Amino acid sequence: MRRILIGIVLVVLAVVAAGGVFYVGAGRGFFGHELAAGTPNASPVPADVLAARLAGAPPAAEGEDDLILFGDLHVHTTYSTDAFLWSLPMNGGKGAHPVADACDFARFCSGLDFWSITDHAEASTPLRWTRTKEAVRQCQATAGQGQTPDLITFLGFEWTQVGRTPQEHFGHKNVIFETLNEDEVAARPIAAAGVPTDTLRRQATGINPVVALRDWPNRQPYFDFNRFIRNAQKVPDCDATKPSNELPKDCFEQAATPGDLVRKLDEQKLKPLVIPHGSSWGFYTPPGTSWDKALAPEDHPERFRLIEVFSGHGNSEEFRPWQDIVASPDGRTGFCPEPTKNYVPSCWRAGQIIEQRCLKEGASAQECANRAIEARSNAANMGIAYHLSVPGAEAEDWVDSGQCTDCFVPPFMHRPRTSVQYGLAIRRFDENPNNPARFTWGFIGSSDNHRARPGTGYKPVDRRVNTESSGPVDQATRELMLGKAKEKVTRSVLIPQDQLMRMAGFQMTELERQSAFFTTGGLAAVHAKARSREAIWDALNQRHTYATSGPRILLWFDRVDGKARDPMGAEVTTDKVPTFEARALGAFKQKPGCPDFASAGVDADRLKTLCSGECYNPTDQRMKITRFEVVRIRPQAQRGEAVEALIEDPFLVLPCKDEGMGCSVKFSDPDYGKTKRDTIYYVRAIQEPDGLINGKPIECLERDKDGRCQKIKPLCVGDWRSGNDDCVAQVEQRAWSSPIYFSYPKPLFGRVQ
Amino acid sequence: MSSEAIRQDVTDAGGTRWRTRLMLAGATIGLLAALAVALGAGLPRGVPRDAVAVVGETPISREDLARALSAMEADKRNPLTDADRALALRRLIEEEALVQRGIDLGVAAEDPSVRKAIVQAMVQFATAQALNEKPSEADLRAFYAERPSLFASAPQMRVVAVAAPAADAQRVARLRDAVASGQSLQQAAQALGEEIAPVPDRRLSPADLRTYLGPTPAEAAFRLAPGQIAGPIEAGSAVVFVQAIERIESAPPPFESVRAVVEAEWRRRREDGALDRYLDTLRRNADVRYAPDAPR
Repeated sequence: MRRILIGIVLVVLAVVAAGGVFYVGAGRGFFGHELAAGTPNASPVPADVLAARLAGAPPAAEGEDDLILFGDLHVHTTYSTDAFLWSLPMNGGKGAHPVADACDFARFCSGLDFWSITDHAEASTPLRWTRTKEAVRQCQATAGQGQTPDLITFLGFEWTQVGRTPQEHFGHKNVIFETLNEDEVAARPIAAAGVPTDTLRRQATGINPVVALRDWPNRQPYFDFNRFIRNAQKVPDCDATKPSNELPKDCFEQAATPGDLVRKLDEQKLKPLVIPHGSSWGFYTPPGTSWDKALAPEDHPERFRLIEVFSGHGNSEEFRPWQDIVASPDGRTGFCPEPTKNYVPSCWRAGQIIEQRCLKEGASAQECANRAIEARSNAANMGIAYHLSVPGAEAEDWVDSGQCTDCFVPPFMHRPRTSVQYGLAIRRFDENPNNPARFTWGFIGSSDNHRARPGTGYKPVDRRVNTESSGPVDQATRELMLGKAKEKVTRSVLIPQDQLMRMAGFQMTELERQSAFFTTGGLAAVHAKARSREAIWDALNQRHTYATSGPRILLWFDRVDGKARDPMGAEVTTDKVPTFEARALGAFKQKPGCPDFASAGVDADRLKTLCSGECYNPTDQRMKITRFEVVRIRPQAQRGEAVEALIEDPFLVLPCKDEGMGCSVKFSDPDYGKTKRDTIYYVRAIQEPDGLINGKPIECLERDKDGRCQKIKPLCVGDWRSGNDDCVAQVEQRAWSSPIYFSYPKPLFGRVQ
Repeated sequence: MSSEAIRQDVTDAGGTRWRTRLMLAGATIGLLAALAVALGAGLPRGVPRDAVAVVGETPISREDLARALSAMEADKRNPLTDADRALALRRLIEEEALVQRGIDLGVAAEDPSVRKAIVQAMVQFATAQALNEKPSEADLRAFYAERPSLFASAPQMRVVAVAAPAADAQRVARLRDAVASGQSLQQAAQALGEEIAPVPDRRLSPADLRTYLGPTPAEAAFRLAPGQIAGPIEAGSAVVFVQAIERIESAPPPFESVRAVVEAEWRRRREDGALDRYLDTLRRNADVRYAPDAPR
């Protein structure tokens, strides 16, 4: 008997020890592997033959017309923490998406002319950076190195800055290098110090080993993810006191502000493009944030030549006068503003939810009104974590609050004061009142895809990989990730600022409602002198660029002065009335499947896994352009001038009668000479309605007497509940020209205009 | 009984005895053979002279052992001992036993990585001979001369295009008549007040032309010689006329500047040829049976 008991104890001890070893080992990634960057699909034409061919291609003659080329300068692979997380089986992911897949997707699926890798620097390691560089060089080699390669590959990384308060928040920037040469790219990606590095790297705990146990046949990706996190955490921080060019290659470098980032790049003698993006995306942008502080000279506003207007995260273009919260001057406290015609702040909705629950519970109207006031205040003081102030609230309970309901495909929780239009309207007079600082961006679009799929906007298919829409595969996994549904309390909860500051992770954001807003991405178009790396780089630097919401619309926008033309992106100093010409051709309608040129370079199975067998596959039929909209912005002429009055959107609407051959318009602005103010013009070419994934994320079913939404259709969220629906809605896809910047000549003497 | 008959009887009796003895001897040999087979597993078997051991039917060669020993020696500071030698042999035997067991279990057929390794090894085997071939200068020059387009990029075209709505038959007919009368597309468009399509006035690659004209008109344009006009070409709700203004066939580079690339390509094609021939032989010799609905 005693022997049996000892045996049982030993077995139990062995099981416990094995469980412990598994738990610790799986949690710390001991069973995982570091993922490779992959090898791009070989070209059907060997690289050396291709190079010999391209070397013999005739160069473009001087003075010839520009070419329009399409690209995507913003794509992530599984080397980004969030991308890896979304690729896991528990989130419905289909496995790793390495750098080589992005290359193959650009060549065979989306048929782009150029693209760039931009994984989050916050997850980088020396090994990952080395492998990324090798993979993009291989990608370029498969497309050829000569004068007219069919695909030009750029190297970059994303500086993923997020601040906890409006004062600390500068937003994300992509850093993209002109060449792939070792001495002309960063020694290491430079990460944003603070929240993103904490969330994506330092405090990331990996996947609970219980998840791997529950999903045993798919356990390896979870082990690999935990190895991915541990390997990143093992890299030591760089010495913050040393200049960037004196640091060893094998450390983790961080910059806290845009100014820091630019300084570090300068120290390495690099002049990359630094491109703000997703600027008005409220998912992580603290309420109350604005562009104003980013005009400070130490943050080098002049170095940001381009901005992403549109991406798979939405449209950052439009300014609206409403505010999400009204912040105190130090940004530490806020109060909840009243709703306006088209906008209900989320803090306001927090009050409504609590009030409705309170009344249902049977409390007095006065008591419930008081609780609503308290709830609004709590939510207004919890930043992007406002949703935590109302425990038990489902995504649909928030209805359309916090959203720009009259914007074109806005990002989730659009922040108008970090919109592109707001940025163009403001100036900083502090340092040089005669020549106040301002942003002079050119526009591009991007996908910001996290599944190694650059240029996804060609067809509204495969929502769960062509957009960022993802989520738990069942209720049990949801509870494992987000915790059990909280009780629907009738009083709001305030999590104090200092406690919020210590919290990190995606639970701080309204993740589920957000997932219904992800769409396929936009494109960057350039008017380039040639199909070459140098010509594309020059066009990007000259702002001879435009953005599209995905389709390949052809767009020209010029200021015309006799025979002279100033293209989009130009800066013009004149006192003459400006006259413009705009022309656009709609994108080609698509047919199913892939064209022969894609199938010739890669086998059918690969095309199926790479892009679900759906490529850019144009017919001869163009979509129609229905109208041009002209936007006029007169930047502030004096400190404190109200921005609302400076942005005229639209300034003009010019209808088109497109018979399948495009549309062209001419217009001028006689007011320019009268007001004598610097003025910015850009156009939007609007295409007939077409399908877009999550094009209309919220549909209101019930409104109150004031017209405010009280109930919405179930959201097309990223988790299992939305099934295989691609959630396509008809929207007017469009292209945005880069602005033409007019400066009215200043008097030689006398007052500033 | 006659003496003849007695002689016959004696002869018969002697023959019967002889046959009986033969039968007994055969049975004994058979029994001994059966015994030898039955006891065979326990008996030592011969090892080929160039082998150091045999696992199943597979010999472990002395050469393999020598290779394993030299690898072991390279990792060791001290001279090899007999125990090291025995260990090396044991490892080789274990490896062979694992391989044989793997084959018995069907790993080669079921494990994709093993299949891939086998396929790769066989491809190398099939192309090994071609790898050692050395082309002469004349071979390379002839190879290059026979394939002028291999090292030349696609032609580039400068075109003028005019589009008209397909529904407006009169407009389309006017354009068609104008170009049929010998006018250039530009002249015809000017005379009829038609707008020239926004195709850049520059040399364009096939991909670039597709961006501006769409797949069908671009393909038609690339079949044109300078001055020729194609159209009307149906392109969705529009029809397109396109005239080639300039066509630039890129000149192949001089042989000397791409000699190394030519040799690499020559070699690649020899290897491909060798592999194709080997696969043809395998296919011919293999017993392949197809289901009625199998794609053929």
